[in-house]
Amino acid sequence: MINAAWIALFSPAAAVVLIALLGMRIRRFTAGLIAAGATLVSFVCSVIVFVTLLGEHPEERTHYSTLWTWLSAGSFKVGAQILVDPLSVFMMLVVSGVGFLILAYAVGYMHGDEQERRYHAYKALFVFSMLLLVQSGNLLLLLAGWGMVGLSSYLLINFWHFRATAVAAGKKAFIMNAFGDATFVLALFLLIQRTGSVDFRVVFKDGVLPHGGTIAVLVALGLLGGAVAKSAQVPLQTWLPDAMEGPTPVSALIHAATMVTAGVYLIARTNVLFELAPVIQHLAGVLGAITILLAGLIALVQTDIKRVIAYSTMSQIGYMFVGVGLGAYGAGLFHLMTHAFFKALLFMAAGIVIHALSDEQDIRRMGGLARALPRTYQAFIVGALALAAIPPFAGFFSKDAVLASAANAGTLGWILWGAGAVGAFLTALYTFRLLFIVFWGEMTPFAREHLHVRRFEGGLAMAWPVAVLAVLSTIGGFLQVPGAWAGVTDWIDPVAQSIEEASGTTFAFSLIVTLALSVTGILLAWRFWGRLSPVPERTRRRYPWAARTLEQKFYFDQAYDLVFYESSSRAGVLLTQYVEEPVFLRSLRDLGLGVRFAAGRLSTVQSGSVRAYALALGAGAAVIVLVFLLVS
Amino acid sequence: MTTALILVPIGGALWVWITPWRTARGPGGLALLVALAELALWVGTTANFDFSSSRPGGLQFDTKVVWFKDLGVSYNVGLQDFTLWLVGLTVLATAAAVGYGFWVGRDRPAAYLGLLLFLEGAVVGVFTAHDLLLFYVFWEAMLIPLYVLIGVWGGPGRLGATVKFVVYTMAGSLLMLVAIIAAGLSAGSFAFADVGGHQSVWIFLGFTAAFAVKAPLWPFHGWLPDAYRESTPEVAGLLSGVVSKAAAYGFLAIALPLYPGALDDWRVPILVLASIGLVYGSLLAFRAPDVRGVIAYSSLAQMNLIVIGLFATNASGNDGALLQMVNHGLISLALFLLAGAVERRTATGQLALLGGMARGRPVLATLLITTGVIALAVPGSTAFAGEFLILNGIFTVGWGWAVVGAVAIVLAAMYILRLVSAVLHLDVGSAVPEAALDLRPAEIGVIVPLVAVLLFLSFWPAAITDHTRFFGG
Amino acid sequence: MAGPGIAAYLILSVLLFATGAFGVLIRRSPLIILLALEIMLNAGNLALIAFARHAGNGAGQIFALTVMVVAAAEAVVGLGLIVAVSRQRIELDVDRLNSLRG
Repeated sequence: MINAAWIALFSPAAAVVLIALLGMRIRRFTAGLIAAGATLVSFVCSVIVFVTLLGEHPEERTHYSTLWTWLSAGSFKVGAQILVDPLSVFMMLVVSGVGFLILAYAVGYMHGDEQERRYHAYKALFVFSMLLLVQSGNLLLLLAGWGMVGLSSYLLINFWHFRATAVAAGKKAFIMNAFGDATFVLALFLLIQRTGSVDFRVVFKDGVLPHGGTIAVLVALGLLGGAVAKSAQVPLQTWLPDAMEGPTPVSALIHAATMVTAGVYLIARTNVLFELAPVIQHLAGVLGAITILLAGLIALVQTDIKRVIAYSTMSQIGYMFVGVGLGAYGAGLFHLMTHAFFKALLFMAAGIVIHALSDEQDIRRMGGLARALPRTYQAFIVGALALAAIPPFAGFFSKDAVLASAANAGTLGWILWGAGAVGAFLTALYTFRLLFIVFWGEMTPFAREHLHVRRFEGGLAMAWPVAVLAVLSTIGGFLQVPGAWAGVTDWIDPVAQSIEEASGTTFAFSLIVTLALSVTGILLAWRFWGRLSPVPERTRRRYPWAARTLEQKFYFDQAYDLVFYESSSRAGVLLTQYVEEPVFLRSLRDLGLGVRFAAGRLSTVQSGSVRAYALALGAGAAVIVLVFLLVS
Repeated sequence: MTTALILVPIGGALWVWITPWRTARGPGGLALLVALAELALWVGTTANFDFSSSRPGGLQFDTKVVWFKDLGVSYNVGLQDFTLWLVGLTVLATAAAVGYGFWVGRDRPAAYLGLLLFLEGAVVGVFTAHDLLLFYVFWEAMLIPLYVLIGVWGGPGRLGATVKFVVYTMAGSLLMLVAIIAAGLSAGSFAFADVGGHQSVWIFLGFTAAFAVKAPLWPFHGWLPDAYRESTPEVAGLLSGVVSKAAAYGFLAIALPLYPGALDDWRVPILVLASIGLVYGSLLAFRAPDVRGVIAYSSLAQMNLIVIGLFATNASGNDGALLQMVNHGLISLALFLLAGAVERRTATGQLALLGGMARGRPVLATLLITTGVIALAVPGSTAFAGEFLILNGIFTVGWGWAVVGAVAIVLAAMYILRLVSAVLHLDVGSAVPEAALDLRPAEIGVIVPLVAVLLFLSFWPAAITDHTRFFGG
Repeated sequence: MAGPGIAAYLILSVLLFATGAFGVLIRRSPLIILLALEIMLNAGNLALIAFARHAGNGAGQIFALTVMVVAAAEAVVGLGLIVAVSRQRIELDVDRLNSLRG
């Protein structure tokens, strides 16, 4: 069983090595097959592990395995160690399962790209890193996977590296994540100082850190910094929309389904540490709630099809943060899973649209595509309904599980619930705005000119993963039906015991209110964009400042540019100009010139006249004798 | 065995010099053969080395012959577990440098490659000497080949660069000589094992001066930008990758263990300097206008980080510093050789004139990106392992130092990504000719082993830290 | 072993030394300068020997012997140089032999 877990981990890594070594000797298509095949192996192994765990007693489903010592210093040792327990298996299934579908889709999507092999190698590298992240048995290897998903994300975002925007977006993503890595690392240092280890079994032990103390708060804060950066939550959210510069399957896999949810996984995994510092855990929920609203508002004015979906991702991860921040781990992870299904579905459907329109992403140039791409349209509707949390689609069950848990959690819970409810309305509004603009109405001249539809609307390779995900988005929610059974929560409980769970009247109340809000959102979207009402345009003109603030994404980008990039850049230039040049480089040259000048002056003493030398010698001797006499 | 490690390259150098060569390829072939033989010798030594904890930090393969009896000076060389890795770095890096110099076809190859081998012998001597006077002899012997290599084969500004380098280094070395004489005479012996008795702050500072200049510790780096820019790529790589490690080794083997008393008073000032150097180097690397400038200032930052790890003086900091010394040596040499490859194709290193080189040059792009991401210490890489241990070590001394280090991690990401993008990505730069080919097999053969070792270490950094019991544990 | 006291020897030595030094300073011919130098050295020798006798041990004499050897060596080198210079048909005048000026 544990061997299967190791194989699941290393099979994508082997694919990377294989593609890199074979290079040009294999066809591009073969490279894609290797990457997708390796991920399929991971998925099959994950299923084997899952089935094995199912057969075990719930309290005995934790297995550690160490192959070798990865790093050591004195008594501090970190093993190349994996952990198989319900939480990691849950994540393994999501990552390798959705990952396999997206890699298979990518074989079709990237077909014909000049550097397809490089793409598939990066993609396999990502799957390896992500599996390392979720399978790691200690915090240091988790951080290794954490950093490497950031790296593969960087490589994939600027995959089309001749585009300036892609390169800038890649750098931005990497550097913001490095920021999170730095706080993560500092938290680890503190943990090591207190516990001498990064092993889960040691650091999660009761009483290792005092409850609520400064240490616990700082550790949790450091981890939260990492989680916020990776999951694109406020205040480190600005990299995610820009990351849409990468190829669409990348956006689907990394920036929707898997990597960006790593923050949620981290909080669930280290729930013991977060519960020691409730302030910080609640802060996670609050940041999530702010992100829900912020992203929902910005998504309303975006014009790039992928960016709208990206903002919806941020806002959905906000729900997950609310869930795990309030201790509803099962609900948060349940939403993580369903979100992976429907968000990947939406991105892949969007990818087919983008392909069909010769790589156009601006929704103002789209319209009326329902007739040209009927199956894609249907898939998109499924994804949109799931995203807007309409029963019986997957998002309904999971989002309500999160919100109902929030409604149970006291005053703070109610505040977060309020944000989530407003968010549900916004979600429905912008999702269906996108749907109506893209698929309804009349085709624009641009769309008519550039439209070309392949068999199965994008080729068989792209069509079948979309179909599978559409099915999953439809039925995936039934894993956990309120009042009947709680598949995910029960499965996760041995690892992360949920503090809050949905129940009774608050649950019913939450359900009705949010459902009503979602439906209102859809109706409003239909009223505005389904029937081409002038209201949105009029509103925009009446409140230009509001529109501008939203279009400028609340000016986070500008502020960060000023604070981080500009300041470092300015500091570098100023140091070069006013310190390095004059003090270290020019001063040295001046010193040399000074010595040369003085030597030139002094050398006139060397007259070449022997008698002058003799006189100087004699005079000098006389002076010395005189001094000697006077002193003694 | 240790003596053989010193004598093989020096003897090889003499052989290369005195042979009357008729063919142009002769000296290169012989020098490469000697460098590879040295590498093989090191592999053999490592295979026979006893890493068991029964002799933690003990000398192995050691030789001791009396030199000046009445002064207590002896020819005393031997290997410790941690110096073994530094010697390994030296022999691997030199083999790569010799191979590259041979392939490029420098003028007067016999003299050039012989000097590289001579340098190798001197550096190995520095790492293995266990007598202060012998250490000093090897230390100064490093300077001679470098002086010639920069001054004769360097770029247009080579003279200024050489003078600066020599003046700085000599100033440091002479202070060290005074310290050595004072330490040796007061102890009646120059053996490492004997000189620690006399706890003088001045002796400690004398050593520190030499090591601080060579490393270089901020603000003693005035020689660095010119020397790294004007040398040939392989010499710059050896200078920043290997020779600077001799200074870090000096701290590790002499200044810190022998003078713990002085260390207590001087730890904070030196940590302050190193922290400034770390941030300062990173910021300058971020704005440097040319490829070599970025690598040079990042080297400055990295060496200051290593000094921070050394002055943590605990197992984590020292193990991390050692690991990072090996990492940085390989990274720095690989980056300089890649910079050389870029400069050969475009005749410039100015970032503004470069760009778009990834297109049609997959090997160059892959190697530069791989080395780059290891250099910026992406979590999971061996450089990350090293930096993690260093900062973890210094965290227990004071958390503030580790925060500075964490800031530098972010800055490192900024300057390395800027370098990678400016060379490989975006539009094709005006200095990049269409016909500029991908890396040639010889270049691949030289750079890939360095990168392969880095990848191996990323897979298993404990290969070094677990086989170094010198620092306790 | 009676004889003049040490003061007499020293006075003679000083006179000899002054004569030599004066000669070195005012004469322009290298040959004469060399000669004057010898006088100075021998003045030193005289003083050394006088002191040796005064102190009653041989150390001063050993010094004097060493000085003689040095003087001989110096004469060889100096005369050799003078011969070499005059072979070049250059006027033997130390004020004009100043090509070593800085």
